[in-house]
Amino acid sequence: MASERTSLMMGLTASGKTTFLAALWHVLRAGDVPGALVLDRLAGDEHYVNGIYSSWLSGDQAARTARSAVRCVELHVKDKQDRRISVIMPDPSGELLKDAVCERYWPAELDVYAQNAAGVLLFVHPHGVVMPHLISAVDIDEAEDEPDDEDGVWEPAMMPTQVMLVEMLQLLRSRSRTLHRIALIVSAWDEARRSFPGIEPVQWLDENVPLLTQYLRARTEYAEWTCFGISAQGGRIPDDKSRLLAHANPSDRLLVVGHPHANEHDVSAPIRWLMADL
Amino acid sequence: MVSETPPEGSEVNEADQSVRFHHGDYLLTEETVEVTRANPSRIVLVAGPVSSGKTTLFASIYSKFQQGPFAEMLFAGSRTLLAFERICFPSRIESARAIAETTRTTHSPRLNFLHLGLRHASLASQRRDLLLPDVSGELFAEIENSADACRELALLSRADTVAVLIDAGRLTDVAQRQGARSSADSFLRRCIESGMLGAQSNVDIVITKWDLFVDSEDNQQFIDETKRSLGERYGEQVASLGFWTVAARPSPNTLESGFGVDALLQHWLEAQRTLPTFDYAPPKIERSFDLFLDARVEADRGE
Repeated sequence: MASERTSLMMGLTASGKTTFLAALWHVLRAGDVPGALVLDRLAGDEHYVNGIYSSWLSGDQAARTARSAVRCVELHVKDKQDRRISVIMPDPSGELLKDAVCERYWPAELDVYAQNAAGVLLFVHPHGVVMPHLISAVDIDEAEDEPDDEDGVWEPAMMPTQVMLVEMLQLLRSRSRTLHRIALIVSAWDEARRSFPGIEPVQWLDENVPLLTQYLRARTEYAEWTCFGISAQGGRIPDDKSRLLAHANPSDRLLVVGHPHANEHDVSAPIRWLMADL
Repeated sequence: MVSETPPEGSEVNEADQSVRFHHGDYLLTEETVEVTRANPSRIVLVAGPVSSGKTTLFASIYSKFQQGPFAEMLFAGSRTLLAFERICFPSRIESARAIAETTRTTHSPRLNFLHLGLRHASLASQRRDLLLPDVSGELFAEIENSADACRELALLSRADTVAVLIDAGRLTDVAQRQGARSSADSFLRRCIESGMLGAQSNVDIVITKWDLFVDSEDNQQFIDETKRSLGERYGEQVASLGFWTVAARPSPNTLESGFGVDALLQHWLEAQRTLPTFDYAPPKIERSFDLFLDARVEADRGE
């Protein structure tokens, strides 16, 4: 009988959650990546995951997850020891999670998953990181933009990315009694690596979301954590579409960095780590 | 992995089972109980006249952690992230301001607290929570003038550290420096004579905006005299009296941002209010049960 795990995906809008899910679905179905999880059997309803997979295969951007949606995918998989696991992967929209931080509530449906999540995949996209920029750090004489005549009014949605992500984890912490592992995933890792050759995912996180990595390092009682750099698309859409579609084997599009024992195309590696399989 | 009961801070709506979370803004006094109960904590009451730099100091500490570990500490969480973000906003480019500012603390009948969870970067020690009540300049002035107002601020006698701010710009302005020193003196005297500060109290005199200090022999003498006079008058009446200089948000090309704040923060995390001692006379043991109980107490103490 398969054991069941809930692995909750979290991250702001366009952080790469849905693309990752589509790529994961491919790897599970294809079964051609050494060491990766493979599909054991199909689930009852696969409309959602097949829909995003279809977009991924054709090199198109997946449709944004609806604001109020908490899509959930059920994956029945086997690991390399032939152990059967059912992985429940809720995929809440980035807007829903941002609303939780800013508006201070989330729906019952998400709460059920949060309470039962043993692991979290927390996504950060290099293009989506909003950092705090101090006025005192800018040379006014060299500033390109003139300050506006009217002072801006603060709203919670203006909070830097790292603050949003820390608060997301704090909110989850207030509801979960089962969480013990967090996998940070830096999306579009191919681009991050091009911008900073040789950088490792943890270094990128320390430089771009240092409040988040401090929080995880300090809160050892909360959960174990690790990080991966993943390119689940393999390039930019639509700029690199032709190149991506030229791969005879779509698994070759994928890039996974972060764990020495994971194959470089194994996007199931974070799931395996959450299950303590890595 | 140590399992622990997750902290409180959320409520379930009975009608639709949605979850309402803690507001994330300033904590009220009654809300700080959860914090002090959960982890070792330090309460630092920072007081000073209007525009002496209290809130800027808090914003500076938080902003430093946004850049990375600070004062050898790691950020370990906060229940007041939204409050911190609000007070920091006017100092950021996103506020569309030409000059960095700080949201002024409005006078309120209720104390509002900022909260920071911190842990030493070595992870050798447990997390420590820092509670920072945001006291308005108006309340500071009121306490100078009124014993009743002083005694109403019960936190004065319970804080691990009471930090009194003096603006360096005023200390080096001939027209204002006597008033600046007198204000700090009056506040301390009022607190001590009202019984709100005493032998258990740690007191810091923090000279803020050190980038505004005009270095001259006369000014340095005045600073030294200020330290001497306050030390002589009050040093023996409190557990500790320290002097610090900071520049939380100095003018460009003067001092580094957050000058002196790291050392001050480390000091606050270490300082702890001295508990009062009292003479304990053990009861006369006569019954067998009392003998048994006494032995258990001794065993628990490891003596």
